[in-house]
Amino acid sequence: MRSAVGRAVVRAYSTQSSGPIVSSTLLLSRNPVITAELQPFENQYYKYQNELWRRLMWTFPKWFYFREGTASEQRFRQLNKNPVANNPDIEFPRGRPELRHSRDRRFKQELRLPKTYKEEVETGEGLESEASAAPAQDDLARKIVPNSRTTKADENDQTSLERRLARTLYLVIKSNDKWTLPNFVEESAEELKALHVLAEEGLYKIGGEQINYFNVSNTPCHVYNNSNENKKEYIIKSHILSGEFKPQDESLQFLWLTKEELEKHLDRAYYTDIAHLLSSV
Amino acid sequence: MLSRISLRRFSVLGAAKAAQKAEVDWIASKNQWSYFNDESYVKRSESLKLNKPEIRESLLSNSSESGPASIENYSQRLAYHSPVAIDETFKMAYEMLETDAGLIYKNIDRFRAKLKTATDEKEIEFLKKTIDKLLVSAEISNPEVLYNATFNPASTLDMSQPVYRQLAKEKWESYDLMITMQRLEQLHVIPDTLPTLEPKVDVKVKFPHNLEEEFSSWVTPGEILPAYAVAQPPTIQIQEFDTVESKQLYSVLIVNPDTPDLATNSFSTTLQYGLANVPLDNVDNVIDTKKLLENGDKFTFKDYVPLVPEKNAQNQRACLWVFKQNGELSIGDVARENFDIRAFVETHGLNAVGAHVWRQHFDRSVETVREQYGLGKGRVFRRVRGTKPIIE
Amino acid sequence: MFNPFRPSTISGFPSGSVVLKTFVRGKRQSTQSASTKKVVNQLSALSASRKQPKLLNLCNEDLIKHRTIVNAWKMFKRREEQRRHNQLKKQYKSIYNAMEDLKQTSPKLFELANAKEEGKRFPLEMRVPTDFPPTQPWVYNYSPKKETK
Repeated sequence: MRSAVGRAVVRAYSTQSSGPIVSSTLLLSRNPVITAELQPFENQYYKYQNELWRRLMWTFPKWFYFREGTASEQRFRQLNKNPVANNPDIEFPRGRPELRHSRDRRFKQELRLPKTYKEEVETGEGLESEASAAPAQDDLARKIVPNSRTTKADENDQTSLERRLARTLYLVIKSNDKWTLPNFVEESAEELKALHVLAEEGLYKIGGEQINYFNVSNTPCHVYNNSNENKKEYIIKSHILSGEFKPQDESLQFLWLTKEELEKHLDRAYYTDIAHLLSSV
Repeated sequence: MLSRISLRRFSVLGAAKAAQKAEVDWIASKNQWSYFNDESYVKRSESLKLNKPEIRESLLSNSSESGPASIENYSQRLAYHSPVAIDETFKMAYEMLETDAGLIYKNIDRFRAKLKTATDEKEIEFLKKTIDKLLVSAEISNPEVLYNATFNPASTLDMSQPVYRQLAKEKWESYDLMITMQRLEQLHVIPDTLPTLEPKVDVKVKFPHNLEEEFSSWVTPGEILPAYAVAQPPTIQIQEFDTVESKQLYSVLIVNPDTPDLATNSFSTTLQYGLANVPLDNVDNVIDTKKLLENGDKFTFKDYVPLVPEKNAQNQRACLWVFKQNGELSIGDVARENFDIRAFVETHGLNAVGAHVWRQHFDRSVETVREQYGLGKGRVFRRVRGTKPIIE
Repeated sequence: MFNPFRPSTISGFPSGSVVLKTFVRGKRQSTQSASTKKVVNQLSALSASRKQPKLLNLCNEDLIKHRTIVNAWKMFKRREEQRRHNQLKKQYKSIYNAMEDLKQTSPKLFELANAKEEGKRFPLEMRVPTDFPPTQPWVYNYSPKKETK
């Protein structure tokens, strides 16, 4: 069985009409799953602002949250040692401490709240045996550890939808030994199909029907004049939401790539023509 | 410190010194803001450098244990704590802004090359304006320039640099301009003397012959001054904010619109001081005693006579107007009394760019000043009963 | 001075009379009722008294450093915004060109592409990016709805 793309290409060549063939190209993207990576300056600026914000915060009213004489208050006191007091007999070269409610008002307040789980740094005494026993997954008191922002697919699997979670990925397939965006030409001349329908049917034909996708608009977002094949490629934008692109033809190769990787895989002229459609996040 | 030139020129002095300076030298090798008058880069004036070397070092290097150099008291300096993470963030911010400034300087180079070959008058003017704008944007976020403009007195700034003029203009517009315009309008200088004013220059006035601090410093517009404090001609500073290439000619008038006119039972305007054809530019911007002693005869077409309000006359306004001239003026003899300032401005094609006002009334020193200027004894005004009865 | 928490003295005593101070053994007890104490405690958590940090008083160098940081941040944001604006402009132009082109090439397709999309909804499955990925980053087991006729 020849692939749908192969057939489309054959059809493109076999057309007799002199005008360019109308075809529909699908720009299928997987939107980022996690927030974008911060740039170094952004990161540093947020850190600085956060420090200023902490410096200007009011003192924590511990008597309100930890009632005097309770066990939790004692635990809180164990974790938070009082700062150095303003002793008139001592010289303080870096300025006298100004304590209010056992916080030095010249600095931010460093607070350590008692946790529901055991932490070695907190107590620091013989917890080795207890620490080794990992808490059960359904234990409500367990420490919450977020999932890693990188996945196994990041290593070398470019066909996975789980790679580069912070970036937008675009589907490219190999046709005629060249990486391109999937392009579809109408097969039968009898009825005219709208461009987005053409793209949808083409996608189902090459990638199976187990794809949940959202078509942004029926309007094409770009036209690429493919003079080599005498084709006009109207680009339709859509997002994959769930499901998977499973090539129906074993020989069909496909990749999910970011904008920068597309630059390496696509033809230079082709890439510069469509670069403004691609997201750099 | 410790600029890059000093590092380069004196690199022979020894490795020890270089190592000492190296810690401050985190600025990368391709830095725009650390070159001054260097041939290999765009020429930048030395005045764009922070003028106190120890503060410059403490600004550009990481805050040290010994504290910021701008705090003079030793124990206060030690007790000061910088915000956390400010140094690292500043370093990154500085690098970003500096790279941007480098790009702008490259643009400036391009425009300067264009300016050399340009022949069309309009194009030349456009190019010059663009270069000035770019020079401002290249330096306006330079921390050294910001420091100089924020914490050093305006008189120490190099006004030949467009960026300092821009910063001075912003400062002027945020306070002094508003005060001046308010006083001019509240005291009806506008429209009693001239119909309106579009302020372009910062006009400051002082009377340096006074010994008291109170009267020898710059006069706030609208202040009431005693006669002895204004007995000598004032020093006038006219700060232009646009670039003045060769000298620009200015004229200055001081008029008193409150001279009692008994014949018409009203007031007339008197010309108290007239200067014309005073050449000034961005840096040389003061008409002071020295200048008047040297070229006073050339500039002055009406000698200075201070306002001497007679007893029981109301407050009198000394309205100072500054005009830009289009060319050299030849002003003949002008009568002091019944001076028509509007007609004068129209006939000479003057363009009002700035104004100032102070007020005077009768005080103990008036008689002395009158004697000094040979004005004779002053009159004393009294209330007179009207001819009509108050109640009909 | 009026103090609401002070126990009221017995009225009827002439002013200046001696009030006997009774000795209480052990820890001194507060005279406030439990509910009053609770309210006082709650209000103290909200009040600013003795809780405010020292005013941030930057030295000249740090003030300039701060202004430089803010300047750089403004520049950074401005550039980002400019880049986005340019891209949107290009995208709009490219949609416009594509439609103009389609109108010339195939008026029928142009009409279809321009048709109103009735009943189109924004997909609920679309996720807002979060700081950390879910345990299962991607949903694979999707099957299209059976069309009922």
